[in-house]
Amino acid sequence: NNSYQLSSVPLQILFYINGIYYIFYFLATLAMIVYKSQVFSYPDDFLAPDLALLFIMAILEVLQLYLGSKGNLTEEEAPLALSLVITIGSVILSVYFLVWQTYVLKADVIINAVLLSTYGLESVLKVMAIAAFVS
Amino acid sequence: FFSMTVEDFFNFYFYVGKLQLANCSGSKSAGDWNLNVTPGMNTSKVTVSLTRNLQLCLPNATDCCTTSLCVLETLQVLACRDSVMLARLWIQAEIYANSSFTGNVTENATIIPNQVFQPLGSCPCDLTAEACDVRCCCDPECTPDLKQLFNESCFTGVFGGDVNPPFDQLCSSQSMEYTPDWFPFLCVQSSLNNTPFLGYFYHGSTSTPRVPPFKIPLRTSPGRLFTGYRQGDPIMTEENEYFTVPQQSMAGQCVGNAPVAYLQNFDVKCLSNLASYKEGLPHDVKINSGTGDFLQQNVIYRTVTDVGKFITESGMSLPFNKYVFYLTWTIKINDENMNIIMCSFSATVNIEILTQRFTVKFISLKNTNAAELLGNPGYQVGKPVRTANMNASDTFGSLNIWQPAGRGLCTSATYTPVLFGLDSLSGCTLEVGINEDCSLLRGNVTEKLNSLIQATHVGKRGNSSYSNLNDWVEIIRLDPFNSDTNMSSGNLKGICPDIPANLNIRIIFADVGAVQGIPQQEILAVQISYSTVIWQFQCGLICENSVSFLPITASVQFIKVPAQPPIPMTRFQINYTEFDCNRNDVCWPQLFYPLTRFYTGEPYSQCLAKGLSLAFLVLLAVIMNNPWFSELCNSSLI
Repeated sequence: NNSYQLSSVPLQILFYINGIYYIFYFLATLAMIVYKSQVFSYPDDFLAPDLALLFIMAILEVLQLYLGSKGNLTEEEAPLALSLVITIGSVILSVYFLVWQTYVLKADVIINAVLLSTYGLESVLKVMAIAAFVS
Repeated sequence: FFSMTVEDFFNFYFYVGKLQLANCSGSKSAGDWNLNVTPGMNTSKVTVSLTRNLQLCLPNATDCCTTSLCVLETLQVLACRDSVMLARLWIQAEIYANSSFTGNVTENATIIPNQVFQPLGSCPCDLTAEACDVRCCCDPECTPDLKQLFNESCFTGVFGGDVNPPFDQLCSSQSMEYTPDWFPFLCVQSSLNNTPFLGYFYHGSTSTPRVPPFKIPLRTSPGRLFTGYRQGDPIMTEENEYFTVPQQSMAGQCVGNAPVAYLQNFDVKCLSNLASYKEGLPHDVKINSGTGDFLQQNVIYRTVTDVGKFITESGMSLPFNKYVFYLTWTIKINDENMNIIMCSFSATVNIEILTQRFTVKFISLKNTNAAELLGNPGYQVGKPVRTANMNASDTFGSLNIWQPAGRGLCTSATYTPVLFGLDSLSGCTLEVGINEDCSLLRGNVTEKLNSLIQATHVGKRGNSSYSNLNDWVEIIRLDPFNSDTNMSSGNLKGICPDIPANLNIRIIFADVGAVQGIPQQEILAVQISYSTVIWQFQCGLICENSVSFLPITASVQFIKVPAQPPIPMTRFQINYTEFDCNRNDVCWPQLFYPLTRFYTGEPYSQCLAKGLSLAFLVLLAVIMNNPWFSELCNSSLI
């Protein structure tokens, strides 16, 4: 019944899937960084930024999912907009892991591509939801 | 032009350019080259000259060189006589044009590439400017023709310009024979242009060199008060300097300033020139006696009347009118006085080379026999083994081995005492005739070997006294098997079996305690045995030799036994290092396997994966069991 319920169901589904996928992504990237640090030779100060950015990304992701879910369910545009802004940060970080990381493995490329597509779809749905809430 | 001279009159023929072998049917000019022959007396001068103009081209000129290398040709000059080729000369001509430059000078500086991306420059093997470096394929000054010459043997690796070679884990590298199963997922996708090592060497950090802690401690004169000398200590003079006497160094030559060690006797001969002859010690040196006072030198001059004993006619290395003579002086340091005995003589011979003999002997005044002092009651390595002969009247015994000298014949051999701790083997050769009786030979050999052993007992310690029988061990003799029976081969001439030609002296010693921290060694037992050989007369082609040689040897072997076995250590005391996984029962590093790499039974990647998934599951379980988590789930999913 669209007139009473402005919350976007696909967006909520996407948040749910994103949450589960992100847990997998985080662990996989962490494991791969550990693997890379053992197999390849890292110059001295390149490992720390990679790990730090991964953890920052995890924090941003949690925030984004929480705010987005809350905004969608309570039909408020402010948290949803904030979540959109945070998503942009997450996208940048994901691009970092895709392209600018010290060593990019093929598995990195795959999971980052999936994450980016998820973010893209999410952003579109968020914009539509904000438009629906504002109007 | 080139010119060469040849000895005879030949016809010269000339070929240009072709690298294959030509025959004698050419012409005197080919291409731009001319050949001129000017005959002379015995020689002809052959001149090969270039007829071209080698100026670099100006814009409107013709007949000039377009590039700076104008001529690169191979010439063959053949010397023929009557259509038979006698000699061939190859000339490789590489001539550069005369480049007097009249154009504009450009100000293009050499572009140095960004050091971050090319830390060694774009082509590290391009060492010479404006010339092609051989084997450097990235050199821009190499023309393609030149590069073709060395194309197969270019420098590889970083020096050849390949600063970033592709490595095996790249997804784009196809050259690996063995790719692991996971390779499609875990190959490195990032391109080579963006490796983490870009600019790695650019910043460059300096490290201050750490001064190596190797310092050979220079033994300076001790400033401490003297409490007496121990064996081996250097003898000090009044001014706290070393008391030096010329000695022989380990390299063999004589060194002038070598300190004298307490209780260490030596006897060296040093060669020197008469011009640089010094009279030995300065006369005012006093040495520290160790008990607080100083010993004065007591120089005793002896005049030698019989000069002939000291002048030796030189051997074959010097001409006959030069002589070598000895000037000897001996320092005898006894407990109270330092006696320096110097001998001098006058001679009217032509002296060139001086041999000085320096002897230092430590004599204890308390022992009137002037026997050597031993610093420790136990045996010291290098000191003679004390022996006693209880069957003789004066109880002095000797245990000797042969001293090698001269031709090595037993008839002229001298003895040297057995020294403790030094395994030795020496021998001499006995002349045996072909008609020698075997039993006589055996007796002769046995008697010669027995002459080395003139003792029945050996002292346990260095200070064993003759009055105390407990200080001595009896020598165990295993006499050779005396077979008086008729040997079946005893009738053969020239061959004798069972000749006891080798004497084995085995001395067993052990550490029996310590005096002032220095372990003392005692002899526990001595055994003398004989080994037999078969002697055979050595014939040439026909048995015309009258004597053959039988070498007889004596060997001394020192065998160390533990006086008592070491107390076995309990497992508590056996304290292997904690990380020694081979010997320890408990091996902590192997227990914490994925964190430490000591265990090798399981592949690291598998263990890591298992460990991480286990940790993940545990974390998940902990989080999910938390009531906070279920609240969060409920509130966010509604």
